[in-house]
Amino acid sequence: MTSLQVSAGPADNDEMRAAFVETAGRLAARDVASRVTLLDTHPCDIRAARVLCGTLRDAGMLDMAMPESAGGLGLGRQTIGEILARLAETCAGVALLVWANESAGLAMAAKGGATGGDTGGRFVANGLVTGSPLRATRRTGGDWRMDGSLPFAWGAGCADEVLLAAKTERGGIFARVPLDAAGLVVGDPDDRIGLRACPSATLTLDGVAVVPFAVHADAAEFEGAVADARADAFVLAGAIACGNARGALRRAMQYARERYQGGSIIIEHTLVQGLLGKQLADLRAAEALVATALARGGDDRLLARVVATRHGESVCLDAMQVFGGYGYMRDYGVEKHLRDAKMLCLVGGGNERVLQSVVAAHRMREDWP
Amino acid sequence: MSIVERFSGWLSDRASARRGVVDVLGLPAEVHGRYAGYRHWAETEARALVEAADADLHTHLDTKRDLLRSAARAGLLTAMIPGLFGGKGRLSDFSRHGGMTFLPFVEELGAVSPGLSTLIGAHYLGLMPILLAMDIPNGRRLLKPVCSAPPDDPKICAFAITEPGAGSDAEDDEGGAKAKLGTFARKVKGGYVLNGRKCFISGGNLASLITVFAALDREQGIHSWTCFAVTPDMSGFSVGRVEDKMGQRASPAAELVFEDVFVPDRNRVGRENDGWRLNSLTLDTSRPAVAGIALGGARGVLREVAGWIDEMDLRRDRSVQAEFGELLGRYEAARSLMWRASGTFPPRRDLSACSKFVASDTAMLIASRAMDLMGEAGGLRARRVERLYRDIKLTQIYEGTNQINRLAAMEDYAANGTLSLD
Repeated sequence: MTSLQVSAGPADNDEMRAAFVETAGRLAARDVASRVTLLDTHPCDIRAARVLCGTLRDAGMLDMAMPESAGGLGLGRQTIGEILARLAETCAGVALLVWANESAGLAMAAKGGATGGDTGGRFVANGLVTGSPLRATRRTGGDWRMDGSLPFAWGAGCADEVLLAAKTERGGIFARVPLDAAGLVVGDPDDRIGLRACPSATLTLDGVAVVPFAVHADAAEFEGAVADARADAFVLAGAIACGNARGALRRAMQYARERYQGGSIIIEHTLVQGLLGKQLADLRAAEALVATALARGGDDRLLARVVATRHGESVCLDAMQVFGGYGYMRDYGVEKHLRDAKMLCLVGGGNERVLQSVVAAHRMREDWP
Repeated sequence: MSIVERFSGWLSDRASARRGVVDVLGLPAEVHGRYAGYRHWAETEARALVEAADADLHTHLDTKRDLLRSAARAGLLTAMIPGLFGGKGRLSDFSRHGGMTFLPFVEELGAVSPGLSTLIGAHYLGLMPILLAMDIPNGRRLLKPVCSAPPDDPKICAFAITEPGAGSDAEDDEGGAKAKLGTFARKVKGGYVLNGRKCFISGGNLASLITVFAALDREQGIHSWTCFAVTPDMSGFSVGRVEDKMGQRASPAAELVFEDVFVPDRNRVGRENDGWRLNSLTLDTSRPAVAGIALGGARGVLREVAGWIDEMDLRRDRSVQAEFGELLGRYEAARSLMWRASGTFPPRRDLSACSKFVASDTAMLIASRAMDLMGEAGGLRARRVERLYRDIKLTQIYEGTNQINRLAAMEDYAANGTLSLD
């Protein structure tokens, strides 16, 4: 078995990071590559996704963000980002499945929501990416109830629990909610253009009893905490966009080295060199910003997601042009990179909205940016 | 009524009047008048079948045949074949309006599905060399089965140039001269013997008549290209793989195999060695139509987005207005170029090529940014924009990739230094 846990221990130094990323690469090549087509049905094949979750669980990939005190690997954003990018070179949908759980894990680790019972890779879907449209009320006797409808709960189709945030009268709460909780209905898996290996669904909550692991009495503090969790999820989605684009570019390069036209392989043609060069520049710019944002945090996490997903889509569009007609056929794989790239632009909301939110958050700060 | 209300009423009347005038100037009224009919058929008859074809994971042909039967009942398969050749169209449409004749059709069908537009557009593309060869008696004979087919058993044409080893490069002069061709015709008594393979042929597995381009001489390559009308009942003809595509799934793309296929002399289209000229003329005519398919897709995207904006009550959101306005401006600019390119007869290669790549790049940008505007909802199949995005992508690739079309736009300049900026 390929397992991250083999080398588990105090993580997040360069050496350990390289070892984890390498292990993820082996997992992608051996256990993911053969299932890419199976996981690309529409709507998502929940059974196939669950089987994959078992493989990921066995490999320790569902425990990466959890702190060591809770039995996890305690990896940070940077390492997780690199691992996700590596997985995305083979299948961005699978990377997003891991992302859903790990971005929820980072938020829980930050807010004290990780517990000793989390070892063994209990899958927690991320219900924070779309924001916090839910409401929570405290009843007499002190128990909390959640209500509302939450679209695009990523990973909910095959998760054990979901991480949710809900506004209260003054602030808000964070809670982990089992998906079989009374009053919680998981809708049919969303039928999407891409990232189909990761089933998302709309959750409808009607008086669902929850036990919060974090309670914020102040609305601004709560919104800030949600925004911080979303920003981590966004930059990790940016890392996936980079990995996905790298996969597409590799395919295009390989094709250009093998395809003869006009008496030579097409990578000898200046037109093709220009097209590939543009893709490489787009990719490098995205990778650089994502790496900075993963390391530093802050608003760069949101900007990195915007740049990485836009450039990622552009790289995939151009990669398909290198293939010509063959690129449009499903056999060559580049079309899947493109569909996944487009969906990555939309996870958690469109890029324009993300940019607006960055400026809106700091609009009155004279020392910003 | 207040002065403000009266003034805004006047403004809106002026705006609609102006729109009417601009449309009539840009497009002849009789051509413009056809949009509504095509839209009605596409939305009421074809949409459900298109969506079924898109969802079909196994590229079954039933829905495509149903689409063709419905199109035949609506007269769409013969409406643009001139009466001179046995169809229901008017030659004067082409002489007066050039390729504009095709635009209402490709745009409105494309608004529901660029794949649908390709399914029926490829039929007209297939018969185009026969029309352009202008051998009327032979053309009438070749097209008779198509023009006289009963609606319940329609016959369509397909156009076969692309080969496994010669794709986009066989669609511009310089690339064509170096293309590695793999389909050849040998002269024998009473006809020709064809050998080779063609790939990605739209409607190739459904067609009753296929215009096939084959070289007569290995050394001469495309300069010896000759066009032949092949029917599937000819011995040695077979259909190979049918492609599983990202989009345009309403239109099948098939591989065609020719193994010692005997084609009688009378099925040669045009003269010997005239294939490259016919092919170039056909592409010059069809590229503005591809622009129409792409901008039809963009038209569909804009309609869907407008529906979403209404649903979300965002019509007064200024950032949404600004983004939508940007897309609308680009759409109108590309559409103007498409009209200009299609309104010249015979078509101008530079304008045709420019209209194709500008329109398809614009349509792709519109689809992509429309999805961004809608956020996660934009990626849902139920919202239709994602299907249009997948469909539109092919318009950047077929009829020569957009990279090749940029070269085609510069052919005259590269060869003779001629640059027309009129």
